[in-house]
Amino acid sequence: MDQRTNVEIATELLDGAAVISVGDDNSLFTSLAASLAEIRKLKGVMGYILRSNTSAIIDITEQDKTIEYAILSSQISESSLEMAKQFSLANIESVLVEGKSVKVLCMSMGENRIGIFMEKTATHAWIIKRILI
Amino acid sequence: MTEVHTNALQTILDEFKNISPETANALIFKNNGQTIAKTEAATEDQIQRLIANFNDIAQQAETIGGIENLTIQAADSQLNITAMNNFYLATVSSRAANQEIVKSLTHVVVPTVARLVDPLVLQPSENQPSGAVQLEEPSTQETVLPVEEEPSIESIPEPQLPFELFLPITPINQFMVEKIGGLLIPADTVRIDGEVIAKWGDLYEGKQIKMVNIEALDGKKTTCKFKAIKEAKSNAKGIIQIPEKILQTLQTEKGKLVMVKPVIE
Repeated sequence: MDQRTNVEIATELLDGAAVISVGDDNSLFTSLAASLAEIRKLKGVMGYILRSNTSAIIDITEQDKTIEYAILSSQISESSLEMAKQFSLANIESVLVEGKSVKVLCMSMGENRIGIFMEKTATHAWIIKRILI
Repeated sequence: MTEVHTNALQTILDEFKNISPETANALIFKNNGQTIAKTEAATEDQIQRLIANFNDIAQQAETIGGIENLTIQAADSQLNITAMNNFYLATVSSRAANQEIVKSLTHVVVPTVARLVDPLVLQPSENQPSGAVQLEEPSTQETVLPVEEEPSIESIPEPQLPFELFLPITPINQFMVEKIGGLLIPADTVRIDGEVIAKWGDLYEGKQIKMVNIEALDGKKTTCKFKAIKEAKSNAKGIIQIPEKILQTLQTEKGKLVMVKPVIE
């Protein structure tokens, strides 16, 4: 995590999670990665995706759903921004999408975008607080 | 949907500004872009863009079983979209609004009326998956006498199906453990965020809730009495204060998570 190449794409493993990085170091990204690794251990949390303009970490229990989850979290981030703009909602803190059995919490911190997938019984309010600290 | 049905939903939305003045916008729509009812403040352009963006998410959300609820929380306000059978209710409200009232409107009042006025709900056969209908039809043709079909028509309770959705499922809340002790602290009573207790009270109006089931992450369980956390500080959110004796029973400690659900009597 500490050493990233500027040009090449590097793939490594962080506590079992795939890390893809291109470019310079991003201290907020590193700090969020540490928080998410902690959140990942909570009961009911099924995984997360953290991505910046140059790096990404994907740690999802159901690996066959990784692509679908990545597309979903990306779509939530983009579309919710548009919806918020329409109704003059400023400074989005979080977006929560609840499905039948799974809920997704999406947050943006600077250039970093987070998608956390969890069971519906998991406490997302605490997770939001933990990330905003 | 007839005009009468639409009017019923429009009347409810019009009442929003009286019941919850902090709710700036509210609308009910179908995912095909049709607006069923809306408050005056919402423009057609806003609505169409909202529906288009919502549909974009809904398309990808099949992987989590569709969207039941979507909430965008901004610094001062929030946008919420709740699924109600064939409709969606969207509200934009201030975060300063009384969340109990907003939730009661968006999750109970409007969905109840929507279900009552939704003609599709009153025709269960249309809501059944086509596969299920196809399976039943051949069997009646082959074996059962037409006389036997009649008693099934008498099963009038079928329209009540939608109401079963409102029967409250016992909520399970996840809390972070804090240790509590002292001379005046009863060893058999835990303390929980008062907001959660109030929600249980609303959910099970008229029922007594005196005990809670607590389950630690490793599966150790116990049932005990509970009280609301005295401090009305925001830090109490998501917290359960547990005396030493119960901590030992659960084999858990400060900072760990436990699942708590009310025991309904």
